[in-house]
Amino acid sequence: MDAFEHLILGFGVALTPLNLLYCFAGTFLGTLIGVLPGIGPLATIAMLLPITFNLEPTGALIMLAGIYYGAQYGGSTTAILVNLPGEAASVVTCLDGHQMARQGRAGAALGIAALGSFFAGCVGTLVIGLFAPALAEIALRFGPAEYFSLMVLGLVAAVVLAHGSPLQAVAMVVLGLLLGLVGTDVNTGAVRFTLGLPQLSDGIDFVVVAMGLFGFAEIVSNLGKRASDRELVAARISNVLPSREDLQAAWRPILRGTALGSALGILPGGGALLSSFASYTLEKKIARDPSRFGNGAIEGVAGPESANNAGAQTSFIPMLTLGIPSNAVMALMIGALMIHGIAPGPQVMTSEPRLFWGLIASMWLGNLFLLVLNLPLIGIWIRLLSVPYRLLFPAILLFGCIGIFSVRSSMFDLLAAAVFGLFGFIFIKLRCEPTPLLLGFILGPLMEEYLRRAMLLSRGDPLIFLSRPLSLMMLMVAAALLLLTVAPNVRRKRIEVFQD
Amino acid sequence: MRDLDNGPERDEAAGAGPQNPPRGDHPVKPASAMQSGHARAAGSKRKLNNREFCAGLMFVVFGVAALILARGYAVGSAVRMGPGLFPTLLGSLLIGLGTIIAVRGLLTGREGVPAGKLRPLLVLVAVAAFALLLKPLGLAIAAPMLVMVGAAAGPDFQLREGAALAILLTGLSAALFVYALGLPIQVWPG
Repeated sequence: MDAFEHLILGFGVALTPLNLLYCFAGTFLGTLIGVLPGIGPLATIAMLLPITFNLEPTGALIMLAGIYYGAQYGGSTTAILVNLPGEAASVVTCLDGHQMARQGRAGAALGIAALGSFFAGCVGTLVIGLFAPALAEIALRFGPAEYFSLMVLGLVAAVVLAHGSPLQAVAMVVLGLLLGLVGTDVNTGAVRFTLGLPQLSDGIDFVVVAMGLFGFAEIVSNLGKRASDRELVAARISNVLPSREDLQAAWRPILRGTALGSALGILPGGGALLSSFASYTLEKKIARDPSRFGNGAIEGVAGPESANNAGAQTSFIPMLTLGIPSNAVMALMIGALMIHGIAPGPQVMTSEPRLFWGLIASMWLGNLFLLVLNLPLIGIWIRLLSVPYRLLFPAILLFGCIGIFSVRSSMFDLLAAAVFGLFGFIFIKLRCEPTPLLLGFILGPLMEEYLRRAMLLSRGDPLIFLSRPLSLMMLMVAAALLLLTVAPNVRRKRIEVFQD
Repeated sequence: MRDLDNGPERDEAAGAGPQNPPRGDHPVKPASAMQSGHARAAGSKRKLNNREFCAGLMFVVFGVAALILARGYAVGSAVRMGPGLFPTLLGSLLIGLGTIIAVRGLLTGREGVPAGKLRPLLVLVAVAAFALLLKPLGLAIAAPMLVMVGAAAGPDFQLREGAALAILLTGLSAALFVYALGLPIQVWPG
C-alpha cells in the first residue's frame, strides 16, 4: 500500500541521529516554552526561526513542528497546576484541570492529559498520512483561480476565528496584504512601497514582522498588566498515573476529542485552539451531569487535551498540501519553507517526499518523546514555573534581537522590528487581532500572483472566479462564513466561548 | 440623561440609551453588569475616544497612505495587471472598511482606549538602541544595555539583579550564538 511505503521512507528519514536530535530539541524546547507562562509558541518559533535557517529544511521543520505541539503539552501543565494557560489552547484545560489539582488529583489530570494527547497525536499522524496525499491529488488540478479563491477562504476563516470584531479582522488582513506587497514586484520589476529605502527592496522580512508584532508587542503588553498571584498547587505530585475510574471516564472523551480535533484542524482557520474549545463545549453538552464541569470533571481535561493535540497535528495538512496556512504558526512554517527555497503546495509531496514523510514520521516520534519525557520530568517543569517573568522577558528580548539580526545582519531589520512592536502594542490597545495581519502578509504576494495569472487566463474577465465550479464553491463558503459571523446568535456564541 | 444614571467616568458602560436603542440580540443590561473588565476612558471626549473609532481611523490612514504611495505605479488593465492594481484595490478596500468601522465606533462605541503606562515601551527603545549599538560596539556592550534597559521597563526592576542578569545572558548568548552556532556577530567593539 502506498501509504505504508511512504511511512517507511518517512521513518527512515526521521530516525537519523541528527533528525532525532532536532525532534528532541524541538519537543523539549516546546514543552519548556509551553510551561513558562508569558511566552507563547508563536513568539518562540519566530525567535528560533533564524537559527533554523542554517539547518537543512527537513531538520528545521522537524524542530519547529516539535516546538509547536510540544508547547501544547507544556501549556496543559501550567493550566492544571497554576491555573494559567501556558498558551491559548490550554485555556479550557484551566477550567477543570486546575480544579482537579485543587482536589489533590493533579497527577491524574496531568496523566490523562499526556495519555490523551499521545493517542490524539498518533491518530493525527495517521490522518495526515492517509488524507494528505488525497488532498494533494485534488489540489494538483487547481488552477490560479482556484488557488486565489482558496486563499480568500483561508483568510476569511482566519477572520471568523479571530477574537473581537470580524470587520476589524478583515481590515487587518487587508493591511497585512498591503505590507506583503512591500518590495520588488517579481512580475513587473516595479519597486513598491519602499519609501526610497534600499533595505526594503526585498520586502519586509517576515521574522521582523512576527517577532515585532507577536514577540515584542506581547512583552510590552504583559509588562503593562499587573502581576497576578500565581497559586502553585501541590509541590509533590506523587501519582501521575490515572486510576482505573479515571481511565474509564476519560476514554470516550479522548476518542471524541481526537475525532473533533482531527476534523477541525484540517479546516483553514482551524487548529489547536478551535479544537479544544469545541471539545469542551461538546463534552459539557453530552455529559450526564453537566454541573460537574468547572468543578474537576476529568472529561473536561481528557477531551480538550486530545482535541488540541489532534488539531495541532492536522493543522499541518493545509499547509503541507495546499500551501495555505491555517493559523499564524503555519504561516511561519510556510515562511521557513520559502526561505529554504521550497514553494509550499501540492507538489511538495512529490518533489520533496523525504521532507514530507520525514516530517510526518517525526511528528509521531515527537509525541512519543513527549509522553515518555513529560511524566517523569514533571518535577523540573514545576520548578520552572516559579521563574518570575521579570527574569524571563529580558532573555526573550535578547534572543529575539539576536535572531532578527542573524537573518541579514541588518540593523534596519532590528529597527523595523521595534516599529512593528510599537504597532503591535497599538493594535492590542485597539483590540485589533495581529494574526490576520500575519496571514495576509504571508499570502499577499501569492494572492497577487494568482490573481494576475487568473486574469491572464481569462483574458481580463473577473467572472472566472465564479464560473469555475471549485472556485465558486470556495468563495460561496467564504461568503457564508462571513455572514454567519455577523448573524446575531453566532456572535453571541463566539463571545460566550471566548469568555469561558 | 446618561450622566445622571452612570456618572461621568463610566462612559463606556452606556450601551443602551436614547441614542442607542437596544437591539434584539443584545438585551439591555443594568449598568453595573457592564463595568466588569472595562478600562476607564481617558479624557472627556467620550465619543471620539473609543476603540472602534480610533481603529477605523487608523485603517483609513493606512489606506490613504497606500493609495498615495501607489499613485506612481501603473495600474494597467485587467488582463495585464500593473504593479499598481492590487495596491490600489487593497488601499481602497482598507479605506472603505476603516470608514465603516469608524462610523460604527461613533454610533455605538462603548469602550474607550485604555490609558496605559508608558514605561513598558522602554522595551522598544532598548531594541532600537541595541540596533544602533550592535555593529559599532559589539555584543559585549549592546547586549547588557538591552537587558538592563529592557528589564527597567518592568515593574519590579532592581539594579543589582538586572546587572547580574545582563552579564549572565550576555555570556550565555555569546557562547551559544557566536561560539557554538557560529553566527557572524561581533562580540567586542572595534
